[in-house]
Amino acid sequence: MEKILEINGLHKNYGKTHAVKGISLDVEKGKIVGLLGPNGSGKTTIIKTIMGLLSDYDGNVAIAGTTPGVAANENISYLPDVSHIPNWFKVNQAISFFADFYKDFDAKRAENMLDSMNIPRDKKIKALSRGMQEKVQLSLVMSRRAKLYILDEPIGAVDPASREFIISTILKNFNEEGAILLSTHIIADIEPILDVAVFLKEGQIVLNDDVEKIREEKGMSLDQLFREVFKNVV
Amino acid sequence: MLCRLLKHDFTYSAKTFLAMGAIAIAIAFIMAITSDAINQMEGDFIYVLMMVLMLGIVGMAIAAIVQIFQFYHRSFFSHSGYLQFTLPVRRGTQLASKLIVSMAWFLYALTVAVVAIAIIIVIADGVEFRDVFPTMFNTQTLVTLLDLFFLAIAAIALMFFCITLAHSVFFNKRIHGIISGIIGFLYTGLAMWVVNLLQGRYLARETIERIDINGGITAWDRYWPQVGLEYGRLVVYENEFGWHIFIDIYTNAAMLGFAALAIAATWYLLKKRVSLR
Amino acid sequence: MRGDFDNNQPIYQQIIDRMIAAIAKGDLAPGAKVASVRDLALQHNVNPNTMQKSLAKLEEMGYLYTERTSGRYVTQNLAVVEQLAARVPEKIIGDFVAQMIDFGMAAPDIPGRVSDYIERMDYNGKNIGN
Repeated sequence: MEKILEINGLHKNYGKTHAVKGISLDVEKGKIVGLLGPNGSGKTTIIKTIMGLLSDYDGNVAIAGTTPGVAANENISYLPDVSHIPNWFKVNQAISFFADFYKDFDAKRAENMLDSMNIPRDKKIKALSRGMQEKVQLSLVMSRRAKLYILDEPIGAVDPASREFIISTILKNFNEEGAILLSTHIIADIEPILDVAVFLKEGQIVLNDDVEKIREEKGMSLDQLFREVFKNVV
Repeated sequence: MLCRLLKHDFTYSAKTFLAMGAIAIAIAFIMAITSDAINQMEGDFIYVLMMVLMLGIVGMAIAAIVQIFQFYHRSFFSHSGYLQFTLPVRRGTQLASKLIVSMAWFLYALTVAVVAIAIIIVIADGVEFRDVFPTMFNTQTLVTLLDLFFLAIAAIALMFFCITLAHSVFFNKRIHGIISGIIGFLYTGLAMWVVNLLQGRYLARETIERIDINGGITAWDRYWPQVGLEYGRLVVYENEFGWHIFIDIYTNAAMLGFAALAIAATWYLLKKRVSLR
Repeated sequence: MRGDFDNNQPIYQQIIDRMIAAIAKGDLAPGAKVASVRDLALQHNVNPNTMQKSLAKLEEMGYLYTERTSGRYVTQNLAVVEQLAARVPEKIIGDFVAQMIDFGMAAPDIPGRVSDYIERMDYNGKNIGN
């Protein structure tokens, strides 16, 4: 199975804080992997390392065989957990921006997605509601035909109804030639679409397994298991 | 890629700079139109007005420079950084785009300043429009502008370096701002020392005589300046009035050199040592 | 068919059960074309690999078959479907009886209770009163 993402022995310190303590993880083609853990467990640090936003780390990270950097970025479609598109852009401007910079961007797809969500494309992003803004960002990211999709807290700040919609959108636009790595601390909504669950506790991987296998062997849902594993973590 | 990035960076920054420019021109108009009324009052008042105007122009220039740094900082180290750093664009191209856009806005700011002064002169002083530019652009002004241009490149490159350094892997805490400021100060000190060395204290600098503008005669009108090279500097001779102006290529080259050094260092930091928190 | 699977049990098994029930009831007619893995996964809001696993198992069990060029279909083997139709109620009854016994009811009393209940049902199958 082709490995889209390979991480080996990743360590990351922020000064004295040892944020990521030697994690190794692989994401295979065609899989949806959940990087799950409470806030502060190191999920975003790992993601930033993959995206080349953090330079000093120990260990090996490879995206389709390339180290984090500009070449790797061509193959990654990234949804950060902050709003990174200038919010005075109109939605249409954001679409042309993506079209300008990403060869694998499918503008038509994005437009259809946004139209089906009843999001007015000629409005400025800042004029839209928070939930709509998230949907805009997601639509742009999922309209790329990339090898790796990294979604950092795609459903974190959204109401339950929108969550379902976002999860459907992710599934609908899932590119089987690639893989998805998504991070979240809201397990119940997301678990039906995950192939693999990776539990991250205080910078270390405490579980990395096939989700159905977990259900079979432990006789409980991922959400339930998560609560058990992390019950003492604030 | 660079063109696309330039287009994006220009639109990203355009609003603020255009607004500032519009405000400056508007203030110039207001001052020019009201100066007549003020002129009636006291003879000395016009000098105070000119002083205020100068401060206003300088203030706007400073605001423009600050805005340039804000643009750089916001592009890379605010939430927008998540976009800039993850685009499939090389860091060198990114940096080049920011520098080009910054220098362009600097020139824009200079132009606005010149236009503002021209407006004052035309409206307030009653100078004929076609005489304004010869009046303003005597050789002294042009040389000053040139020096200013090179100084700006160096200053902007230096500030970009400091801002980038503050957000690099070398600094984890809030004191990064202070430390990068200290580094900038040391770097500037070093630069000034080298420049003084190049200029040579032993070389006397001639004072520049002002031309009597009120007579309506300017150097450009009557005499074609002779150009020659003396002591490695570009010298403009003026026969009739005997004044010399040095365009100091040593200083300007040093400025360029320091800018290049700062740019190279910034490029390195962006490529290898970025830490976006 | 929508999602809402029980996350405490392997989902692929639940998908299989649901599809078997649909075939038994006739909602998925013999020979009917089955939607693609992708479409089904989307309909049910589950992972495509899980859906693929379920469909593969159903094929293995003989309820579906794949036509190389045109896709997946429900089996045309009517005997298999009829057998299934018979088995599903059997399973439901089995679960029901087990529950009643677990509750403490004596097995011989069960048919009586069931008859009573059915008598109280109206023409549409609803219970009209206690």
